[in-house]
Amino acid sequence: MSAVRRPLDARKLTLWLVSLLALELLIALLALGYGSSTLTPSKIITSLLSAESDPGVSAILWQARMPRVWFAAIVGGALAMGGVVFQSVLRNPLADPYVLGISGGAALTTTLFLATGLGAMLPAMIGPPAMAILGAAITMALLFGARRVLAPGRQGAYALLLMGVVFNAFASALITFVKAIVDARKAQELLFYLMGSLSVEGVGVNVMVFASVAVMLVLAGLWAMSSDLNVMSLGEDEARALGVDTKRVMWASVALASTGVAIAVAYTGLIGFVGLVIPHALRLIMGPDHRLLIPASALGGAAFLTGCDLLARVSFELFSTTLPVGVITSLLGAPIFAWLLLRSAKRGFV
Amino acid sequence: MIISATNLKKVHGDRVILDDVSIGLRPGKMCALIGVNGAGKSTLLRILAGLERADSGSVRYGDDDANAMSPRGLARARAYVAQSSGQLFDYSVLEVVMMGEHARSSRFALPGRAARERALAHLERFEMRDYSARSITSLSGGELQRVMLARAFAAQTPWLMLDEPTASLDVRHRIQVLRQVRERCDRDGIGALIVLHDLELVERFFDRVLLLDKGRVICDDAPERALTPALLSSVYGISMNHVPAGAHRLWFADDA
Repeated sequence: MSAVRRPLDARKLTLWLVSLLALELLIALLALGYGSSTLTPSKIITSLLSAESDPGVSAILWQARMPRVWFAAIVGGALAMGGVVFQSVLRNPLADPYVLGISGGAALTTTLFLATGLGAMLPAMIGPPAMAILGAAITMALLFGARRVLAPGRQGAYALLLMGVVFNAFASALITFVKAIVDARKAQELLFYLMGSLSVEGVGVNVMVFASVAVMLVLAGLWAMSSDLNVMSLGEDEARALGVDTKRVMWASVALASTGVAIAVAYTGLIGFVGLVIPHALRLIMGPDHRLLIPASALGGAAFLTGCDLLARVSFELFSTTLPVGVITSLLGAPIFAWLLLRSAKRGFV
Repeated sequence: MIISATNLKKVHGDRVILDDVSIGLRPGKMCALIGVNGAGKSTLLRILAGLERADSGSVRYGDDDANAMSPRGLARARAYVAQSSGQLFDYSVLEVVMMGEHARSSRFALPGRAARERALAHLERFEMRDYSARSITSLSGGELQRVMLARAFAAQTPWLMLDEPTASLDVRHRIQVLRQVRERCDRDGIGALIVLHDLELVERFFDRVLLLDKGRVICDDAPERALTPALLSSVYGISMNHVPAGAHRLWFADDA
């Protein structure tokens, strides 16, 4: 990992972000076109841009396919940014919202909320995300509480990861428990939710707008902190010596990242390893500078999850069922996690 | 700007780390902080750098209380370098040195050509310019140390606080590092406070030496006056002596 790289400048920043945006748009076009009735890119673009479009095409696009592609993009972006932040501030390359149990905590409160009938009391736009944010906040509080007890340095960082894994198992058990005692139809829903699914067809435009604005705000906040995060990723002590208010940056970035993750979990359940795969891949090719890494992860995560979901839908032709997208991301992500873990174990967990 | 510490006390459990330390530091001078392991040198340096708080007593930068200064304000007043731990993310050497300017750059600024040139010039001082594109994860301990010193210089602060900057360096680079600090003190009028163990280097480069023993400053003077065989023998618990070597003295343990 010592390729010669130029430091970040405006040209490099623009070039990467434009390329990744183009990639996301390309994959989104493919995903919008694929389905029981194929739409060509030109048909999609005409329908999106012109007022007097074919109402049939328009209905397929806006009711069936767009919510799915749209959510894939914002969920992928939120999860990947979450991964970047946790890896940097915890200084652990294996930290990921899913592995750390933050997704699990958010899913647990959301499940309880949906299963107990409280769900009817709050509108769909507010209820699940509010509950998920609460769950993520509780998990973060537990993790940071544990972090105070654990030894500083590398061993503590890995112990924290293990705490997250254990918390995840605990949350999953509770969710399974809830699943067991609710009726069969609801249980089926929860199972799908647990595996992470982008079957959000029929979701209202207002929910799409709400979730997008929230994730955009997370992106803006984290991007504004990116030079602080650069220094933080060298170590908390060094960051303080260089003039970073480390406590404030730690809390603000973790709170923002968890909020993004919680919103993703609220609508699409447990989609794992996006926050691990994307930041690692991007650091390898463009370096660890957060001024680029944060927005690039948002776009790269969007492109990745849109692609994975397209793959999940294409799998229908093989298995006569649409796989939950979380299955695809975990099948790809878990081996990569294992490889990274073995690599750092070989180096003595530096 | 003068840095002054008054009645600093620090206790850790039932161990007294610093016991009523008061010192004043003037710009333009190089001050060495010496003493046995565990004498409280690093703690004193960290408290003076505003990275740790004393249990009682105060540190002032000019008229400002260090505890009331923001991290950013402190980082504009002093650069602090400790023994660096292993690095995780593969920033290039140049990127790390440019982070030295963090406290003086705006939130949204991208480093320009001028910042790059400045960082390269600081790397040059420590013979690390050829490493500028290398990943910091690939450096040896001594190389990483020199990068951190270049970063401290890049911060362009009126004070340098260095904790054993020469520990992992070879003879040539030990001399070179202190020569660079000396030059900045003489030319730019900055002040330096440096923890180190090497008495020859103290004699050769420093204006003043603070000898710390069991949390107390027991001697504070110019090296040629402060360092005597009797004092050093009693502090280090081993018979110390010196021979003349050029304009300086060469210290050695003669217990054999």
